[in-house]
Amino acid sequence: MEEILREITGFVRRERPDAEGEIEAIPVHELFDSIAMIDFLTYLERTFGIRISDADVLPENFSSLAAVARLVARKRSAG
Amino acid sequence: MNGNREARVADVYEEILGRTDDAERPAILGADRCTYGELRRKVDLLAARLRAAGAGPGRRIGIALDPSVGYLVALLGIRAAGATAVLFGTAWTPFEQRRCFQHARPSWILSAGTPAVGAVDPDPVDCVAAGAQLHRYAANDDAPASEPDDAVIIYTSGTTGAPKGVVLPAASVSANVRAVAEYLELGPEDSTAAFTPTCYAYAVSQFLTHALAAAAIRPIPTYLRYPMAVLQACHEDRLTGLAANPTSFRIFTRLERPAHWDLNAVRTVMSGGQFLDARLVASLCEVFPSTRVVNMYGATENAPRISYHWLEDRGGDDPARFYPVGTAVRGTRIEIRAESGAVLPPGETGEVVVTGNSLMRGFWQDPEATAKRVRDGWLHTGDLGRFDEAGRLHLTGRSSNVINVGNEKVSPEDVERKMLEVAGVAEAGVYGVPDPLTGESVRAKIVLEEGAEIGGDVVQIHLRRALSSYKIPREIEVVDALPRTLYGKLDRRKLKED
Repeated sequence: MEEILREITGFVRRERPDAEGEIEAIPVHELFDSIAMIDFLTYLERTFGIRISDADVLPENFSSLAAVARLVARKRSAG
Repeated sequence: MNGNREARVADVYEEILGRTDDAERPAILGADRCTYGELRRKVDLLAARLRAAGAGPGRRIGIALDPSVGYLVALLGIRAAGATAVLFGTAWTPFEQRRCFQHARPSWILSAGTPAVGAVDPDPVDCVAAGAQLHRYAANDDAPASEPDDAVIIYTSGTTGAPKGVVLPAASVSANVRAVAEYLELGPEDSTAAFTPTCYAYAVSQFLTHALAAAAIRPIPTYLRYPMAVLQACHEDRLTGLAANPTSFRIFTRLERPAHWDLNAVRTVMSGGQFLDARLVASLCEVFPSTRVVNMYGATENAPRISYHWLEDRGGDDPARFYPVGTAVRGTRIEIRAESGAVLPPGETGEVVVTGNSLMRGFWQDPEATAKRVRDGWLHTGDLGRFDEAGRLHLTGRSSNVINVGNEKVSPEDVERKMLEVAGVAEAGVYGVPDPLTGESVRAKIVLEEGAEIGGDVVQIHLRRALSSYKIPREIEVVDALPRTLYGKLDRRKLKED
């Protein structure tokens, strides 16, 4: 779980070098616009070998990077 | 069609704030849920805060808020205080924000966080009623005053050239809002989701038409970042209307939604901003089985709606069939003009020009640009179109997008529509590149449908049957995605550059 969070945080820091403060706590929609959001989902699917369904892409699953890491972990164990 | 002679229409802001019979009706749905009675209390509180801060007639106040109850409270409260609103995009880059700030020079900005412009106000005023803080910019107080009747200034997109702030008087907004609420037949039982960028004229129109009709709004503060959240809102709140552009609608139709979601309450799907084709309408009618579809055309300079067309069918398989944008809204008049200025008969294509009671006052502090766009009381939209025999307007493209190939004019939108007829082509973008021989030549990029395995040559063969040779792209490149603006429109500048 922590490993997942570390990987995702690294990605976001590379994509948004201008984002300040505790990046793990910022909702994803404040980091990315709707186009960048699609890139982020593609990144998650490729990096973690999971499939994120449309129904997973709701604000509650992306309220923070920690929430995203939980979603990834859930998908991995289900996969 | 008697736009110019229409008497002044009653102010919609006054009507929304003065009404009492809807106090118990829901105004806002979702997390910020509130009734019209509560909404008016919030507006009173904000207006009192603004007046206490010294805001009043002539002064400008920026709004930088996501779709929310606070956005509607801000639109109404700034008007109640007699001041003029300036819309800032919350997704704008700091550069875009500064450009708008330096041009509009507002004395305050209502914003949820600290704005990325001007000197930081160390002591912003909390305006809980609007879910915002009021940031002070006293250095802008010496800027020219706005006309007391000016309700809102909206900056039109365009990342190059000077920024253009469309000044809309309350009378123009009122006329347009009334006309739209009328043709949509909006009533207190209606409700819709709001996810359009709040800096667009459409957002102002959507919030105010629904408020005028005492209908309910479900703000989607995350815009389209979670497209599924919009369908979820339709299901949860049994929303009756959904408005977007075709790109966004295409996203909705492709989502795999939970089978138990019921989208039958949606009775009106409103499409605008791009060409609407039969294939998309057919998929929309599958997702929203009980809906009617209305195609709409507007421009910020006309506050914004110009015309509308209720579809008489439920779409079909023909990808080459596009819908007209119909007839003018009440109070507005449309003509098609040749470059010479002559009015063209039905069937002939020219520039769409518009006049009536919802025109802008002009571009803020830019009389030259205003004089170019509005001549003898007619707004020159820059859009190309024609009337059919039934008197319905069909759009064909934008004159500013036209590619000049050895003095032959090519409308990229025309070529794109032909390219979409080819099986396997999901998206197409046509642009001009400098050509030593002909001035410009035509190029294109396409995105293929999943599983499709065709090359640009197949598309060229199809186009040769339909178009003159100078219109056919010399090269057609297959790409993964076309550059789009935040709201899904093809980004023609980037298309050229990438």
